[in-house]
Amino acid sequence: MKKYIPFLGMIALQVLILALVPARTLVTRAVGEEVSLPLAPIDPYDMWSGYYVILNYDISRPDLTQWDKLNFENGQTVWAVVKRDSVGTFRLSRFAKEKQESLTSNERQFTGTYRDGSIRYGIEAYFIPEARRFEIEKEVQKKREQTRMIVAVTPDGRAAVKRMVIGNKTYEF
Amino acid sequence: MSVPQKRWLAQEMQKWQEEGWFPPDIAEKIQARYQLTEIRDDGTNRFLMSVYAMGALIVGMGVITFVAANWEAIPAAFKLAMLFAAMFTAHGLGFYFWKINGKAPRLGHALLLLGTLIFAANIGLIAQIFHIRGNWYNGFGASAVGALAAAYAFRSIPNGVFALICAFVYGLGLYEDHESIAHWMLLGIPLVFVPLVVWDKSVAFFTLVGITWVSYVVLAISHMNPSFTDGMSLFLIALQVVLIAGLVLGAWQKIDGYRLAGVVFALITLLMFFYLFGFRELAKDMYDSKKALTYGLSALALLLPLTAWPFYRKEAGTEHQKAVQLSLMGLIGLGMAVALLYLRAMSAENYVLFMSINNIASFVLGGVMLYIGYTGLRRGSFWFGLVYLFMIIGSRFFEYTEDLTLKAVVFILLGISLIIATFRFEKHLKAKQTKEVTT
Repeated sequence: MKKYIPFLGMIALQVLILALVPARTLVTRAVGEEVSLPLAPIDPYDMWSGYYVILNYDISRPDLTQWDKLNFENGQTVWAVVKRDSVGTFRLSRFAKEKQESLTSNERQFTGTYRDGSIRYGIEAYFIPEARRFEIEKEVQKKREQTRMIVAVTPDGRAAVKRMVIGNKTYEF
Repeated sequence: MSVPQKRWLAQEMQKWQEEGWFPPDIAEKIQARYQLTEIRDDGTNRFLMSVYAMGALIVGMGVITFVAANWEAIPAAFKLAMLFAAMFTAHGLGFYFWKINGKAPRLGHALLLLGTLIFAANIGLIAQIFHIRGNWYNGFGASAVGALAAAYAFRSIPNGVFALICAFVYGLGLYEDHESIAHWMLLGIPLVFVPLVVWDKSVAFFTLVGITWVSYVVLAISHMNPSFTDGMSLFLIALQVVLIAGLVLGAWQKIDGYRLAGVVFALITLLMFFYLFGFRELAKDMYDSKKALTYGLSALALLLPLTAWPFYRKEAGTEHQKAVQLSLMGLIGLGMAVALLYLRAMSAENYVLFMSINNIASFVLGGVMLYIGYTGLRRGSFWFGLVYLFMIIGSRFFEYTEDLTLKAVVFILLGISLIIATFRFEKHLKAKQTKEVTT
């Protein structure tokens, strides 16, 4: 039995590491509230990770908003507050350097990290099957304004992607 | 005895028997002792093993390609099951063949490494299944931890090498976002990997850890943004740490390889430094920034263990070691004298002495390597010394002479000298080898 201990220990550690990879996303999906975010895909192809849509939101680029004077530093944790509009989509309301303690019923907040002009929230990638890549790309180009990502967000700002909505079609992989 | 050696012995034995050098019963005893009759079987077995391995590899590639082609159509839960099953199978079979059955330890070891590689690939694939795209380097950090666990669980150097590579890449990535944490890897790499070196007594792994650590030091120095001269001094100190580690490990574990690896590593780098600061502009920069003393003392600190090394060796006192020892001790004396002079003349804007010392040191060390190579019949040392000396001569001419004709003449002379030196050395080597065989 003694000779099995190192082997089992190693297996347990490797399994634990693999389980930790999606843990945060799974918890966020389970406990977070669903919100709909508008987006604009930029580059649908990546050599290393197969096919996925790189997702850019209005909360991703502070330099393109009136909030560009906040002067974030690389690696800094940033908070983005979004507000529900008349059709139920959440759009950027403001950026902050600290967590917002009081939000209105129409507001939610996301926490991300600032780097080189953009903020990453962990919801920037959506992997799509190669066979459906062109179909989805075409749909997005045609209905860019009606493309939304449904993401789960927890009260403390953690977020995870759930599905993609283009017009009245839903894509969930 | 390797198969080619056995094959040679079997062929020679046949001739010796035909010439009647020894009776058949002696021949049979030699054949039995060195298992010469099994050579053919050995070869056949190896050939069969290669065919089996190749077949298994092709089947494996076919399965992977089939799964990859249908990957997106497979439900997430089934994908996860497949990823874990592949990892468990490789690890399980590896453990069985190596530690339980014990009949195929090499195959078992290879399968355990394969299991770790699958584990590393699984990190990326699981992230993909859950649409996670984090920092590119985090996957390498996680892979390093998993591979390290395998390395320590089985005292596996291949897993250790994989962990080392992943740890280096992780550190590289950390510098993008968390510089202060990344600096800690300077301590982390030796703390985590040196115990494995000590445990396995692997000189090759020690060399690899040393190279990786010094490379990481270079990375850290570049992020600290020091002056060129400060950076060079820090680099030299890092090399000295590897050298001392090699000397200590060698003395402790009584393995010459450690010392040799450290010394060769440091010697080559030292030659490079002497070469660089033999250039007028670089030496001037170093002198102007008042860092020549740091550099000089760092170089001395590196030379001291190099010189002390032969004293630890039982066979110290051979002709070549004495030559190295004397030369290095001479250099140390020279260096110390210069350091003292430098201290006295700190304000003087005279870099010539410093530059000259580097050139003298270059010539002495290059000459010693040439001498060791020639008298000790060591091709590597001879060629390294020769090329190094030619490089210095060529560089000095390029630096100080603008006359193209003179440069052409020097090049021609260097080329001719190289050809003559090659011819003489090979002739000398052959003569010595023949003499040794006949005596």
